[in-house]
Amino acid sequence: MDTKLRRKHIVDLGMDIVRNRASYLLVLPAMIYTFIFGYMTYPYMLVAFQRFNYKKGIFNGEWVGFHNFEFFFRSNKAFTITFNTIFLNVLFIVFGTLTALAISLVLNELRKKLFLKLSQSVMLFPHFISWIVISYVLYAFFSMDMGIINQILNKLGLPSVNWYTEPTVWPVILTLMHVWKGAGMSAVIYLATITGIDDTLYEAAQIDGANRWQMCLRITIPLMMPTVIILTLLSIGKIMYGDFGMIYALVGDNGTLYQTTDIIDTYVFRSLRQVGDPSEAMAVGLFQSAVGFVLVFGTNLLTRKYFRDGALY
Amino acid sequence: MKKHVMMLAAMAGLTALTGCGGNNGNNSVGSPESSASQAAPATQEGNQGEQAAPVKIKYVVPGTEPKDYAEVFQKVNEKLAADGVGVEVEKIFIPSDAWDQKLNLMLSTGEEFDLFHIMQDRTPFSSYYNRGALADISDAIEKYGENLKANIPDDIFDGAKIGGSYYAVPSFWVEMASEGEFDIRLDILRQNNLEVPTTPDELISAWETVMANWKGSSKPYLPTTATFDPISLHTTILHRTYDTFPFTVKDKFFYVNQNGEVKSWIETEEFKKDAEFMRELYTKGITSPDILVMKTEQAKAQLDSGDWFVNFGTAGNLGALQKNNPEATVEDIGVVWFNPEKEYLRPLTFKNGNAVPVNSKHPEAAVKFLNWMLASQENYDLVQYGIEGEHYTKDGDKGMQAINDPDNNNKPGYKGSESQLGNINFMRFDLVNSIPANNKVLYELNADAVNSIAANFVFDPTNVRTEYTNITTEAAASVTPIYMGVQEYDKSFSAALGKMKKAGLDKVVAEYQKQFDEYLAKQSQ
Repeated sequence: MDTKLRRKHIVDLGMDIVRNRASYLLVLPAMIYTFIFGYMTYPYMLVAFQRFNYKKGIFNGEWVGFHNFEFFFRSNKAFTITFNTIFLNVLFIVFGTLTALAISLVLNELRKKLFLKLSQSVMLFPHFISWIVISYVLYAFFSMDMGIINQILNKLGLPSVNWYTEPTVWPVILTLMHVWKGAGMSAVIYLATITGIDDTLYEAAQIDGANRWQMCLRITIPLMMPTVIILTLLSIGKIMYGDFGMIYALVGDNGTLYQTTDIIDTYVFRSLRQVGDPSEAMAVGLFQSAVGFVLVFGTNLLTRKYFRDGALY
Repeated sequence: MKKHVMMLAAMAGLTALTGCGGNNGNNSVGSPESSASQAAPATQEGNQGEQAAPVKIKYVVPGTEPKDYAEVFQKVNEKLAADGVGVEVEKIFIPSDAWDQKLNLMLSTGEEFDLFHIMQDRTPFSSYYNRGALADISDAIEKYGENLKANIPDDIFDGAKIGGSYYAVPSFWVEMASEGEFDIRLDILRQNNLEVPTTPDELISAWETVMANWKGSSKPYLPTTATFDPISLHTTILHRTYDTFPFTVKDKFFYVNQNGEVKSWIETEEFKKDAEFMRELYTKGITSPDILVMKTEQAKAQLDSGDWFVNFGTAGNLGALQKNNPEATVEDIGVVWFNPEKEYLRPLTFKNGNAVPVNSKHPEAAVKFLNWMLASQENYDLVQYGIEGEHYTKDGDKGMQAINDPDNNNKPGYKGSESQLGNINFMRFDLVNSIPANNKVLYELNADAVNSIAANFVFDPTNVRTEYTNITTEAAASVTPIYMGVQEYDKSFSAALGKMKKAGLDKVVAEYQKQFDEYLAKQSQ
């Protein structure tokens, strides 16, 4: 019976593939990608518990238990860096989501097509600029003697500020830059959700005498929540992964700012650029994944409890 | 449905696996020819490679590919074939700023290449050795390294030895006793009616005057990036003024004097004096206020624009000088040593070199190539200066004139790197464009110079690996701003030291001391 059932399943699968071959073909590249860059990398996790030897490879290394985790957890930085990683990401998620939501709501209310398209393009544009380019733009704003901001300050009779030695302002600068770069893109996703909302709901509300603000509050926002929650959940999964490209391009090797800007990824990169030990890098990577997993799982659990529709699984 | 998807994933996985397997080893830094290199070793064994197909080796170097690289290396490979060396070389260029991370990745993922460049002022070659990344090339040097042995002095070659075996081939391109000098613009001194400074205080005061009188928009700041390593920053210029000289700072953290005394460098009085000097430069606006975020290319661009007054270490060429001062001549850069009567010290015996990665299948071929280069002036000229008449013309025995290519920003279409492969015995000088004072200090042997007692000592941090990683990272965060003068020593140092100690500084210094004592004991036997 069991074998029969299994055979039936295989036949069913074959039929399904034949019938929906176009759909399966579409999903194939993503599956291959995930398989190679996701599952195929699993054996490399062994390296975290080994003294990796370049010659011996990943299966013949000497086992050292949790020794590779020591460099991170015994450094006096572990707490600060983990805190920075989470804190900056929370700032990015909260302000990023709020701004994107606001933008999409405003864009949704725009009726002039040309203006809508234009403003959407303008907001989308930063998404395509690399952080390296942005780092030079930022330098033009914040550099000590040539920076635009200091020149404005001087014109107002205020003294110049050496922004690149002021760690306290950097979470703000980084959040601003992150929101500026990413909000346009997220807004597109939210706008797509809004477009998908059933028009009859608005018509019914209009007949009942609701104004635009009330419609927005009672129809649009509640119906957007599942999307918002899914996107937020996905972001929370990556909360232990800082935006390395961004932080490294904008802050670089500037030690005075590390206090508020150093995240796990930059710290590990810096340690390993000089020492070059893949075992330690993998150990920290594993730590990030473990915490990320717990966070996604936990958040999803909470969402399922309090907001059933929003849960991922 | 879920099951179906799983099955499909498994199938997709299988396809991907076979795809990967077939490609194994060939997906390296973009060479369509790499597959040929797989087949070579079998045929090469036994017959010295004279008749068989040449062994193709990959040589990884920092920098960008010169415009005519392919053309020149075709000639190099033809000459290698004509000389019966049995080796074909392909250079792979990695941009300097990405060098460490890309090279580390290539080494740790077991990518196949056969030779790579070492810059000890950036990463000591012991660091690669300690990771098990280097191949022992003693036998190859013994067998095929005749010209290398003849043209690289023994004490320098010994610097590439660990435990009696060779793990690198030093580039004997520079007199390491040049460490400790700085270059100064004599034309700018004259314009400001200033004398050549003889003490750090005079230097600061002259620089202040130059800064105040400077007309251009880009100020002649100290052209450098931030670091806490005096050898890399060349703040060794100050060390000659201290009573405790001669001493050197090895591997960024260890003060070693000629009596064999080891101290934690950042805790010394000399470190404090360095930091105070740098602080003065910073507060007087001589160091860029944005020094901590300066990038290598910004510092390089400043030197190339000619907008500089003093550079720690050698710098400059006529073309760049004339951008800032059209009347400048090659004589307008002077080399200055504080206290020139004091001893001259080589902190390391060699700064640059080339090593064979442990995964290379052709270590002997890499050595053969390096050896071939020093077999004749003709070979050397071809690799270093390109094709005669197209990239350079000879100018006497030791001179050359570069031929500028209008299609290449008016720079020669090809130029090898002296630091990567150069050898003093074969080197040619651009008699028109290069700076004679610099040539003298860099390329003429200083007969009076002595090697630091620790010059050839190689530290193995394995026993203190965790602490070593942590102090390296911590120092970049808390010591660099103090050493660069951005933070005041008196205010910030004790906190920084506290962090360094917590990161394990004492343990690392103790381990260094232990290993160094053992090394000295062995030397005296």
